[in-house]
Amino acid sequence: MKRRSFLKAMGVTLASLPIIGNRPLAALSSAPTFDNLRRLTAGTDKIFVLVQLRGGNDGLNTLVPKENPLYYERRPTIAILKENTLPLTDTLGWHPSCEGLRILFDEGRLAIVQGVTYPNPNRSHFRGTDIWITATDANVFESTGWVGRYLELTHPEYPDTLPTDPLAIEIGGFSSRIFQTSKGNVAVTFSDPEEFYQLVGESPTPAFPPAPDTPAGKELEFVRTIATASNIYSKRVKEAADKGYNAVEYPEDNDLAQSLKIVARLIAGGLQTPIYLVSIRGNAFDTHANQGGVEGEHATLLAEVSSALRLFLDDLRSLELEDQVAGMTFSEFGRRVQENGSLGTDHGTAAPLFVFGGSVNGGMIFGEDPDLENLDNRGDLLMQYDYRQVYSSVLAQWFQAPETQIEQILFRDFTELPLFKIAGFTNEPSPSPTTAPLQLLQMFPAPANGSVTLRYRVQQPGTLAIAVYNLKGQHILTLLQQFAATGEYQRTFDTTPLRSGTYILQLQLDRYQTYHRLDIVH
Amino acid sequence: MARQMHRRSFLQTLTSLPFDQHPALHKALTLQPLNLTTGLEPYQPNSKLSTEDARHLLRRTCFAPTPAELETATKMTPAEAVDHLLRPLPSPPIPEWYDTDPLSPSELRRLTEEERRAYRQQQFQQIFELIRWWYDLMIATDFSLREKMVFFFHNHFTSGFVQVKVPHYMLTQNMLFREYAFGNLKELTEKIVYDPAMLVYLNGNVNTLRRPNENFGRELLELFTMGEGNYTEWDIVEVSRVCTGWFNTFHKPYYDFDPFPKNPRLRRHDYLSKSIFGEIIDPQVNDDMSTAEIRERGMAEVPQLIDLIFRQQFDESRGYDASHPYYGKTIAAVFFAAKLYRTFVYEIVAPTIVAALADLLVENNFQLKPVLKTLLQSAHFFDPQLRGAQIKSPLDFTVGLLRMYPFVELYRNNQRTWNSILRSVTSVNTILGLRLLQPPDVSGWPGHRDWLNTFTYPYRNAVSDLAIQTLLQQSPLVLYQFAQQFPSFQTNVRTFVSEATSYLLAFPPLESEFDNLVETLLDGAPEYEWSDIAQNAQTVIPRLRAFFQATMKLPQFQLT
Repeated sequence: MKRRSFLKAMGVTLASLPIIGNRPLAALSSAPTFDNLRRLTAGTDKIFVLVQLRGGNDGLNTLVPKENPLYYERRPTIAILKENTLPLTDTLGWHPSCEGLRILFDEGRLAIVQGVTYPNPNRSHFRGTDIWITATDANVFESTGWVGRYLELTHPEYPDTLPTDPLAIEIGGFSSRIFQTSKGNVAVTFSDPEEFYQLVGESPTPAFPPAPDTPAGKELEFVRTIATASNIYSKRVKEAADKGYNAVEYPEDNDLAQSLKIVARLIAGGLQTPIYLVSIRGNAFDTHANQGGVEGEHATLLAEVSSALRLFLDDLRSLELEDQVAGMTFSEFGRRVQENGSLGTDHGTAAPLFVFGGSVNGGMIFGEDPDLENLDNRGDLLMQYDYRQVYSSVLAQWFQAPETQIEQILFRDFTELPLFKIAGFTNEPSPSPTTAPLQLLQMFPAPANGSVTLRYRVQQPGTLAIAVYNLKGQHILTLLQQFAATGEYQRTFDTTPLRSGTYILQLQLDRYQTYHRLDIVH
Repeated sequence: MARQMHRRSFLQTLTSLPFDQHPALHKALTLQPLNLTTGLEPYQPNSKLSTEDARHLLRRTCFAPTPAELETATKMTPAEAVDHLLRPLPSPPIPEWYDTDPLSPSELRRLTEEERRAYRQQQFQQIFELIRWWYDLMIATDFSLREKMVFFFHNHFTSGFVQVKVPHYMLTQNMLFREYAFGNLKELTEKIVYDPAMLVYLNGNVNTLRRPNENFGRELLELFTMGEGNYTEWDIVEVSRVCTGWFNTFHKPYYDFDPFPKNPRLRRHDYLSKSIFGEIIDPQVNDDMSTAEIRERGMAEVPQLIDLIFRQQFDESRGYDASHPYYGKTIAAVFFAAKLYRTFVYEIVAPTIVAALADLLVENNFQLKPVLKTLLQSAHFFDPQLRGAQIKSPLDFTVGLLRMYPFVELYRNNQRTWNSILRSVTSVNTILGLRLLQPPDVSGWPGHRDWLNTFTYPYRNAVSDLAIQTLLQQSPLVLYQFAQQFPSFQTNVRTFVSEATSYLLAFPPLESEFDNLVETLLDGAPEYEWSDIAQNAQTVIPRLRAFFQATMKLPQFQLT
């Protein structure tokens, strides 16, 4: 399947869905194309933060299907009662520990992708993690990581020339294979910038005499690359840490928050590293036993993640870096629908993940509520999205990697999800399309709340239709269908039947169509 | 002051890193295959090992040489030294808790939550005791390849204590590896099928007629004997059927096979015929047979299976033709030969050497000893271009460090101190990516370049600094005495640097590095004054400390 095929099928690309305030809009014909946009904004310094929830996060107790009796049947001891959830949609509630995530979602700084896994999901932690970090099919073994492949393609000079700033940073881990390239692991790993600096010491950057061209000489060169990298990067990281600062307080007892605090500080200090990885300790999310419900192990973990992400994004907002930084959570698998005999859950398959940042299409849920009726033969949730669709969207929309590069990185083509607001587009006024037979002049309020008012101009008489589609391109409802004479119109439509999220508004005059983005918040 | 900070950050890191780690699985290298002329012919068979030769041999086989081992080795020919490395050793005494049975699942269930937690805690303590016990053997076993082979098998037939849980099983497996350190690969592979730890680790204990579990069957072919691409998914199904029926009884490390073969409802083993690689394994049982006979026939399938696996060849049926370097060779023999090559010689295998080693394995019916013997005394093994061409594993690094300096003499007779050193080795190696008895996954540690990154490299430097600190804390004179073993110590500073660095480094310092080390020792004094400086312990000790620490911070120190 071709990427973006669902949008292409509608004759529209994501780029033609501008985010609109109270200002005149461009029609499709004059909107910049996706590729044009990429060219416009290529080279901007975007930073992506991967948050690994090791152990397999239980999606059903994170986004609770609060109206589904099957959920309560299958989870007699650990289910979250409806009245304890925090509001999300009519049918879904947040785990009560997710207050921070709820706020981020409601403020449009966090998107949810439901049902993420891959065909023939593997239930082993190691293999499952491997698959997520190498971005391969379940039965393919690959030595390099998907981020590593991206960095190798974009930095062919590594390691002969070391870039000024590390290509990737992992806080407190052990050089995840996600950063493995065919030339070695490109990540710089430390728990704390100061400690890293002290560990390396205050020695000058070594200047090595040439090594002989023998097998041993080649290995010596490899060790020297590592030695040089740790030497220069420990200094560079400290420099950035000294220059940077945090605008919010991060609690001491939240490890994830402490890691993200370092990330925010380094970004604020001007470090140009494009990718960070932070993770929650050990295999913490592996809640086979005593997972708990409103309280307990899982609740503690969710509270930690929720509060950490909110603080991080608030920090970035205060530092005016919010639009430059985005990120996502991932976990090797979700957990089984049926709770086990030890008050916990066993390894499962599909689960939700979160994409966060000032530039994501926040407040949106991609995918349906989990289907607890149709499960696989092990009693696990079926796939809604392949995890590589998310990666593909990150590479294409966030890093603006060309399509051919993405195919090299992910080995195949995956349909993107519109996870990000297209950079460089929102603030650019588009030329007014005076020749188009149908022009949307104004749409307000944005986002729409209860109702939306459209002001549009019909240049030639014809059949006018205004309809709403979801982001998968499925028709949701028709607002208006009638014959329209030439002239300017202003009409208000009720949007209460639509749940909060982003939609595509289609205006059609006979065979002419124009598309716009419609955000709805209740 | 700077040293103090090093120490603090070192300790902070000890506690701030996650316990559970997942280092890279597979090496991703862009290395050229070798084009060397040396082969498996014996290396200088009629002369004694030179000091340099002896160092190379002991670095690769004993983590690093002790001065005493070097002295012994230089009185031997290569063949004699290798024979000595391969000599049979008595089995070491094992931790006492092994004699107390672990609790059975039903006993465990009867415990209260609190008791169960306490019991788990006790099991973890036993595991850590076991880890220290093994580290002690690695450090203190004299002039033997055994412990390195035990690790070779631990990294091959992997099991991890987090999954296995029962420390007795981990020890049983460890002892099995020790018993077979230079033994028969076929026999060992057979025993692994029903090894208690392996039965838990790869779910062999729940692989039954009714609910076949292919976890072990798949790895037996993929990771333990043949490598991917040399079998079909169907073979995995059938191999798994052969392996049904085994399980552990929780009293003592003990396994049993299908206790109710006569009862079709309770039967665990699949007694029907299996077809693997186009051959049939059929126990041919019928209900007229006694229970004992049925079991015996069922159990006999495992050696048949192993024999079958170890007979498979790289032939046309698998898509190989005469142009392939391994054409006509036995697959399992090549598989093990290549792994031995990578362990003892170099990361990138030389196919001709591996093919010859594979032939040797087959000729000797998979006895390891003659193969190890041939490899370790070969001209190829001693090829100057391959010396120092391996990246030290955390074991080479930490165990080697303790063996190169007089830690054993100074501390091993003080149980408390020694235990705390072994504890440090355990945590340091965990941080460096090698958590003993807990491989990252069933494929083991990828090794080589994966060991080093921008964190582990400076961390290793901090550890080697700390090692010297520790020695000096015992007595300021330790380094002074240590330096006496180098003949030129008190006479010629340049010769001393040359002697000491060739002891510590597998790859010599290059010219400017060498000059810097000389400068470190002289610390501003003219060269002709060295003799006076070196006679005076007070003046020379701080210089020696700086010198040894600087030498171990050269990138060369990471090579072996």
